[in-house]
Amino acid sequence: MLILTTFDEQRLIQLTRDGDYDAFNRLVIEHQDAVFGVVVRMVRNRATAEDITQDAFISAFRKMSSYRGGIFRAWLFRIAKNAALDHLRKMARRPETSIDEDIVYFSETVQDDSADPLADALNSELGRLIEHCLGGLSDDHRFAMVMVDVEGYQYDEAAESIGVSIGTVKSRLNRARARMRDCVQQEPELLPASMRL
Amino acid sequence: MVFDFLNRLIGHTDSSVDAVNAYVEGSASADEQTFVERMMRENPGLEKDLGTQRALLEVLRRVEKVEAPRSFTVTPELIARAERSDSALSRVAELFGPQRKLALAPGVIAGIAALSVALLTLGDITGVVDQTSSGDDSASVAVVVESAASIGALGIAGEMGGPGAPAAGGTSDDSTFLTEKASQSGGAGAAAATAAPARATAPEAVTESAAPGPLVTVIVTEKGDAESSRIAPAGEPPSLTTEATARVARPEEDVETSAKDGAIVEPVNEDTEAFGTGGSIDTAGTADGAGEGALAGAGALEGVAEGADSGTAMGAGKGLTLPLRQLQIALAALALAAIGAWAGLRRVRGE
Repeated sequence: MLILTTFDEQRLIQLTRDGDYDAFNRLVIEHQDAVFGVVVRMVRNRATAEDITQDAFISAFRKMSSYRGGIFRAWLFRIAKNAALDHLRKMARRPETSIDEDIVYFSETVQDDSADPLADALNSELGRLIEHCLGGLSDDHRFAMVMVDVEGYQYDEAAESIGVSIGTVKSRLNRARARMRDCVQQEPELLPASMRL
Repeated sequence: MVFDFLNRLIGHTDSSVDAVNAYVEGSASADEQTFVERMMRENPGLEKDLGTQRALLEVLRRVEKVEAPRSFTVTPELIARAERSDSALSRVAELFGPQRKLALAPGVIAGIAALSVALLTLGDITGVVDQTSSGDDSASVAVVVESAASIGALGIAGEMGGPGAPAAGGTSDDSTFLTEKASQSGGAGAAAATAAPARATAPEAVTESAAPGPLVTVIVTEKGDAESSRIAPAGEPPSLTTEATARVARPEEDVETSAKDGAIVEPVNEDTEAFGTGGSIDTAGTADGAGEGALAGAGALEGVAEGADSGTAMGAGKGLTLPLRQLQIALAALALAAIGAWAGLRRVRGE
């Protein structure tokens, strides 16, 4: 993956505004992992996340003239987040549609250095529990938690992505963590010893 | 509460929130650390909660980053396809999307139209809404009486004959007098009654309903036959020179008539004046004294309504004339169109 400097990014953005597809595609390659990572945590379905990510980049290309500066990745996140929230609202109105067919369990991706099968099993179960609890959060709280706690973005970028103040991100994160804590404590046997204080 | 709301409004957070977040993330300053430790001393349960949050955060941070499964680069074809799909129709369809306020509009329209069709059909079956055809048979109209109850209460008292004579025609209990097949040659306001020929001796007989029932003015010519009888056009006052009149009234109403030729003998009921269309309308019956006056025809009338005049001919706004068949067809078409539009919009939106 190439690493773009801010200067390069601004130049590519300007070229994109002039209709340069190659310039925009360099931006896409730079940010597609990050965008897809957040979207897939939000919608919890890989196929849907792919569609939403593609739509987000298409939309970004068409709306490039509306980009007014700031963190470009945050601007992309905001477009992707809106598309993901639209999808989630649509799904909420059609409860018969299952989202569990291709659910992205955290158990797939929780890194564990131990070679202990029992630890692996517990880790897998913990991943499912976390996934379940994360799915129980409101969209706003989940997005804040995915951005900051899972993907590790700074508060300012998360705030710009969500379109709220940093203080609001902190408040949402505080509440989201408290709810996650309450949720995971319902099955204490799955928690690591450090979580069973 | 208000303070908290204002803080959120201007983007400020409670300092305890900042401190707790920083403590959980392991990035607390010395002041924040001291602050949180003091809080934990005051609230022993807090230490466990924050410990759990720290452990949870550790797990979340161990989550491996997801890589994009494919390239999401865009091409001119993709952009062109997106622009095509973002057509005017799509934008209209978006207005009716599930999360929009107009989402239920097509369904509501279809429901109202279907309900209206059902009610009209039901009314047609039960007699609340009756149909009749115009003279040229090219259109049909329906007479909607205020309520079925009022129909039930209505009757025709086509009373004629000598004083005190009972109503002739024997149709005073006929509650369907308001509906009438217009004559085959009838023009507006000239539909002939299908009543049995009345043996009126008067040039014209005027029949008019009394309050509170629907007001119908029927002018029966001297011949008293169906061909020459006619409905008085709306607004036309009953002829006071008629020699045979009668009221269409509630069965229980007492209607006095006179058998005096060519003279208006007496207004029977003050109510009549209130509902009259220009004059005293009652009586002046000119029957031949045998109780079979001209208004026997009126009594036998099943009701006359024709064309555009029919609504007003009923008088006093006691009823409503509707082109029932056309209305049913139009409403059914509207319901189908709304359903079709709803399905089409969903298809456009790709749902």
